[in-house]
Amino acid sequence: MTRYILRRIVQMIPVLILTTIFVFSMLHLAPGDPISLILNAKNRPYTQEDFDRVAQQLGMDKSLPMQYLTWIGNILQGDFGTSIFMRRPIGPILVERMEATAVLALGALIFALPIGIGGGILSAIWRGSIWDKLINAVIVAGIAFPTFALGLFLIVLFGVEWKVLPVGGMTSFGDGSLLDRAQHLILPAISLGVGPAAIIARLTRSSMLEVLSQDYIRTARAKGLASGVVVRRHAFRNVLVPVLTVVGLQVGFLLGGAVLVEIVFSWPGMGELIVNGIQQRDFPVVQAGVLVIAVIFILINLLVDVIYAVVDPRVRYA
Amino acid sequence: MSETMKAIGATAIDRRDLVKGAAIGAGALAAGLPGIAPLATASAQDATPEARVLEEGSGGTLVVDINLDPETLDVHQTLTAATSNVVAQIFEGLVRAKPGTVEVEPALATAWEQAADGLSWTFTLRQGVTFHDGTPFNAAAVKFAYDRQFDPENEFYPLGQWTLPSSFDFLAGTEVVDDYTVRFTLSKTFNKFLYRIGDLSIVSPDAVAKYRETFGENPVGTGPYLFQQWDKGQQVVLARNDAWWGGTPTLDQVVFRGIIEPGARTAAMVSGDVQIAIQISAEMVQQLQGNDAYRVVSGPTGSLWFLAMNVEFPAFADLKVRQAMNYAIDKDTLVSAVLTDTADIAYGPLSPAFAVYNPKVEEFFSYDPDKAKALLAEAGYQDSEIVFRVPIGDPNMLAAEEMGTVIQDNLRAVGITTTIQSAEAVTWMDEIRSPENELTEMSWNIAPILPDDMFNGILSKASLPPGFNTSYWVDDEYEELLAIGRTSLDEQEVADAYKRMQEIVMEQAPIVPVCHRRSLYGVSNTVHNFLAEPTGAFYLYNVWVG
Repeated sequence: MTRYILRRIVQMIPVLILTTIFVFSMLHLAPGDPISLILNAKNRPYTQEDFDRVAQQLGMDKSLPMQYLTWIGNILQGDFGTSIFMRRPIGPILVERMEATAVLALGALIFALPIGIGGGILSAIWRGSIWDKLINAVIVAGIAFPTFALGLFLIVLFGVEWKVLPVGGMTSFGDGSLLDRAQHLILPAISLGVGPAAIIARLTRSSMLEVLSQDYIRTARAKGLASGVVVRRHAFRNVLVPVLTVVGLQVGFLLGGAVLVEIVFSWPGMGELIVNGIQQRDFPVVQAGVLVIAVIFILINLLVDVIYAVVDPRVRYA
Repeated sequence: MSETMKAIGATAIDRRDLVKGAAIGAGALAAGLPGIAPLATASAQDATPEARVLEEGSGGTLVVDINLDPETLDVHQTLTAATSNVVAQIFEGLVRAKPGTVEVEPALATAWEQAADGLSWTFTLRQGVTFHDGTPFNAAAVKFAYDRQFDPENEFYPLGQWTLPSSFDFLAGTEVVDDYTVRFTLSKTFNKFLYRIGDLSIVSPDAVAKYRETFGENPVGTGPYLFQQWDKGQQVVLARNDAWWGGTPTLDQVVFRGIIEPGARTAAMVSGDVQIAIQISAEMVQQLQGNDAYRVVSGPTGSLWFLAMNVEFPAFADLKVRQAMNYAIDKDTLVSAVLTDTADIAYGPLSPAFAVYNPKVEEFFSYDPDKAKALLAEAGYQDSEIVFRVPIGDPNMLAAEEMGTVIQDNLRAVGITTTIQSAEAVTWMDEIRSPENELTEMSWNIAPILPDDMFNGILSKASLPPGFNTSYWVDDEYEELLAIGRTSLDEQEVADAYKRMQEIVMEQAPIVPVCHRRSLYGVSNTVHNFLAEPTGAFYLYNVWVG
């Protein structure tokens, strides 16, 4: 097991190197640069001299490979650099933002998991019934409905019309209590969790149907076990294997793909940070943000594979 | 004009009347504050001090949506207009704009004197002022603020110097005469020195030394509100500075939030979470005007939205073609239908809010497609597909894509075919500053104070790319007048120069002026005494909520 994990970690390294090169060149080769943005920020005339001075201040007067190596060298020493626009070190910014995104992703997962797995199992057990059809309809709607539209819809309904939940932000000003935080989390977590819940439900349903048609289930039923016991004891664990993979992928999606929800709900997370960073050509911020998300994505995949190996012994020896 | 455009134009006229009615109604609700300029009619005069009747009252917490989380609260390093509204409450300069006007009045300085040769200015500082951390304000603090930004030898220079580059190139240095007297020496005369020096914000030297890199998270100035707390990505909280030299500020607290998504901005306002939203879109103006609890506060600016034609590109090398472009654009429809009267029609480079506005520019062009066609025929214009560049996602460019489509339609009607090339805003900024650029939308957003910022920013030799003279237009007479405008100490000569420059631009027509945007604030009717300043300043010291 340890060897398996070690091997997987070593395999991460080339993936990460490629990611950094890719992000770096995408940003630097694309049109637009932070220097003009800074100089033009106040719509005051500026000269080539000003341009050169700011380029030098940002270390952007050096060649691209040189800039890349400097960046990587600093990263290896734990220095993510300084944000061009925020004028402060990126490390603490990433910590703040990651925390917010993790809370949001966790909230979405807490919403999505029971609903997705529960819905999928029920719909499989009641296959063909009106309930199955209803759940399926909700699943299709959940996958098809754009998150930002759902978010705005929830804001208007709960925040503006009924005024029962806050319309955005992570805490109220002057209040940071747990209840206040939970109230702020509900709407964004639902908006973000609906898509994954639907995908998990669909997969659980098909996986459950497949398991239920297996011989050992028929045998269990033939023994005279109650159908609830058959599902709980014999089917559920086997359903979990494929579902787990998808949940892992969904967590990656929740971390990196929460952008729209974060913007609609003014949630100060990674997605918002990276989008603003791209718009402002804040290269070091975008580079660091994408790198962190890539690392998390890879780690989650690793974690899923490890859990996989625990749940299904065959994986370990493959 | 196509049939669709006629239809849009027709509905827009009705809508415009509604807009006017609503704005006046909202003004009346705010206890008949005449300072709140009704949309579509206001000019700088609407907000003269005589017209301002301030309501008595104080207290409350005001929540302002500035559309973007501040990047830093170090006033010497801020870049965005959103953040300038926050730091303006914490920091002050030696002088400030007199409320409701573009004139200068004392702030941290009480008096000043210009040397006869124009090469030095001596300021007498206000006594008894302290920074929020208790550090006394004096001449050394003024010199420190200058050195931090402009003297590479200064210990804190790398933390401060950033955003005010060549617009201060006339300054040679500062000198402490005594504790409350400071002298600035100039390397060349600059007649608008007083206006520029207001931008030099004074920071607490002790706090900069104490916090260093984190001064941007612990800002200390002398302003009416002092920094309390910053939940990054969420809100900045300021509290009343009871020791302010200008009297006790009215609000207990000011909270700044940066909501990005337009729908969420409206929701936050309507749900009562936010009382003032800055720089709202034309769409949000309409949503708020349907609601009795809000008003739209609006005022003129010095901004220009225009089309830049590259005069080095064969088609636009011919003056007649450039004139035809000016006759072809239906500005009235653009302003009323596309922008729903959130902007005023532009006839020249400067808006009427500038003191040196030359009304003669209005005589140059009107919407006249037939004349445009005739001019094109005279010029022997060969229609070829001109690439017309349009940005996506830049709020300063207003409804850039919708505007582009109507303009394309206008041009097609006179026989000029264009292909719209849209690009994300920053990419577009790069594209338009290359010689390959033929025609682009552009805007230049400044306060109506220094004409030099407009003339030198978009049409001078100095601002050829990488600057923003995307017309590549250079004119000798214009350059001479530009220099007079900057350096002459004879006010009449300066005014004459700027008036003549407006005419030259319209004679040579390197641009098509389209509109001057208005400043637009969504304001809850619980907010009292909030006014749109012609300078774009954001004064909250006498605003209260109740």
